[in-house]
Amino acid sequence: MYAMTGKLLRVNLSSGTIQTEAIPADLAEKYIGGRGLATKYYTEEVPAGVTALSPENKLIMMTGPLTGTFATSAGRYMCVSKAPLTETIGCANSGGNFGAELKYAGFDGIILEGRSPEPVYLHIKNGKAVLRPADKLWGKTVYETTDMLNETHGPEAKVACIGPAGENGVLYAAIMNDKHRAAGRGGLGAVMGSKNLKAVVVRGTDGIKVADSEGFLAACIDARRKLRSHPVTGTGLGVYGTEILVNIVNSVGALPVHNWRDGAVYKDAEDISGEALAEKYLVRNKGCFGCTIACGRVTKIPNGPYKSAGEGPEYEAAWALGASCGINDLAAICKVNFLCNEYGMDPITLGATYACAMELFDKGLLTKEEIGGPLAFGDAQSIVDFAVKTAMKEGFGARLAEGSYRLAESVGHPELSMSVKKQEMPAYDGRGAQGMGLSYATSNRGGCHVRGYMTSPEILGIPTKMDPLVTEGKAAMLKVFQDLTAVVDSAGICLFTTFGMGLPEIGAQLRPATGFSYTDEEILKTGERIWNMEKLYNLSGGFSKKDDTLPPRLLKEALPEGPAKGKVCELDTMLAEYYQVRGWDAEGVPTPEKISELGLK
Amino acid sequence: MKIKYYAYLREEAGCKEESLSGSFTALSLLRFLGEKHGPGLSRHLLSPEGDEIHADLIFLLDGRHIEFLNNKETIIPENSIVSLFPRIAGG
Repeated sequence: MYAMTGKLLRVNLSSGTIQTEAIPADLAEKYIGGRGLATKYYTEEVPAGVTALSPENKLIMMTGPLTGTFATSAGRYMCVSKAPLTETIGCANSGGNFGAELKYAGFDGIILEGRSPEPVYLHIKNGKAVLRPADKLWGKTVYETTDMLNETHGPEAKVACIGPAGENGVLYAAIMNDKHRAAGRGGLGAVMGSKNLKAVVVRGTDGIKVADSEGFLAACIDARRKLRSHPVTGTGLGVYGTEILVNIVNSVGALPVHNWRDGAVYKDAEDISGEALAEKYLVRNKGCFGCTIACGRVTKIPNGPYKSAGEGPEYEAAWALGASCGINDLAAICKVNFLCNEYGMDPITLGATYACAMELFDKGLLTKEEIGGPLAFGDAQSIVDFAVKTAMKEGFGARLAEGSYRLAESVGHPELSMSVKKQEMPAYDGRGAQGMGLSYATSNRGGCHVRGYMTSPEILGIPTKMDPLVTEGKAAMLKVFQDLTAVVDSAGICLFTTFGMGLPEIGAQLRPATGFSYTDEEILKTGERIWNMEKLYNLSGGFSKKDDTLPPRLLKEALPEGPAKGKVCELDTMLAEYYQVRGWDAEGVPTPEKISELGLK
Repeated sequence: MKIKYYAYLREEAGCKEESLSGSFTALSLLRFLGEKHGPGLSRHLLSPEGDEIHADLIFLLDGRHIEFLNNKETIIPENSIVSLFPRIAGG
């Protein structure tokens, strides 16, 4: 097998046994790798009725065939499991250097099963793997854990671990690697914590063999040239990071304010923008493995009450902790983002849960006594104070640790959670960008922007311009985005490459790397296969059309101002068309013909 | 009208925003701004021939992409806000 090692580790944490398994070549061809291959293994091995935090659940880490190669921005690995926040299929991916190192150590992926009786970590080095006691690591932050493991196993070793949030079962705990990179959404860090697995440490020195090295090199150089010459991937993301989106999303009237209650034009957007971050706190930009884009932000708050240093925030975090909470203090936002990295939490769900709690407090549905003090929109100090309390589940932090849906439901108002399938929507209002509304409603992992990033055509004009306020054509475009994203996540490259290149460049790199002769159309069909596989798993777990929806606020409360004034999300129209475009029945179930066409049965 | 610049267009324009008055279409406004601030800004606003809006410019009139209004012929009302972005993305 080319571009992949052809091997994965199966680690039973209950018994402590570790086995090496061969990955069948036909599976690699049919599911590419990464998200596709991991989901294939997961859905075959874990019945849909298994709950996320039970020992019967499994957690799979999987690289793609391009991970660790010279391909464009090819540092990604995927984590797949049942997600505690949603109980849907959960998959979250991350960059950094961990994924590439895993392949250099001789493995494409790891299947983690069972539950260790004691805290352990998995140590992998050049084809060998052992479980080691983690009692001295348990309770440590992500930074402390990484430093301790690097001290033990050398500075070249790469670490993926959980922080206290994962140990404590925060439902949106992240798996962190290389200290600052996160497989962030859905709470897969809590799955790792439930297995008493603190970390995976990996060191490898092998290379990766591709099928046609000359052809592969030529394809990579061509793709890299395209990324370097594109204004987004060659300049914008490197200079300003993802935070550059704040002003444009606000300008088109799609930046939700105050838990999506008070419109989508934030008066202080400039204060939390990418331009402000670059001017005030940016130290330098930073890239993941082999990345020419380098959108990462190394940031430092040099003085004041939030004096600290770290990485980020990304656009979504800046919105969730900023506009959504009515907070314009960028230093406080950075500080909370750093704490999320340090304690291992998803800042999108944390910020959105804060915003929900603020609205509940504003409405008198939560009291000062329950919270331990006021929690009002605009209260920057509170979001800093509650970050660690949430990770440690202290006081009201224990309720914040459940996410916004369970919090709102506990006071009888689940409709005030701005979530889909119990996962909080990120930073684009589906009333001001209709296709994003459809994307949230149909995402297989709940409210999410990186399953089908309709912001790209609707607001940014990439690869084509679509009017954000109309519904026509959105279903068909979303299907392409969802299927292509599944391909990207399976190949092991970064989604941001698709701002500057497309399926032809992905296919041109995949074919000489793997030696498989699949056409671009067949590769995109693989993306569709992966999407349907996830959908079928959710359906067998009890999800249905009623879950493919949005919070009532987006469907009934029109935006009060801005370019999208008067708009609600016209989901019903788009959803019916989407099911049709997907080849599903009117209830959103893939038809037998579609299942057969995709080779899923 | 108010003109707002974002990302590296600010450096080229030398300001975050400015006020103007006059009668403009989208294209004539960009030509005016290009002449006012010089070629550093102009090269991001207009095609090399100067007869089209630059393919990588995002031109919002009161928050609406002008492609969904009347494109380069769009009339810019006196009290409007024009937001100019280079091609950017994130997520």
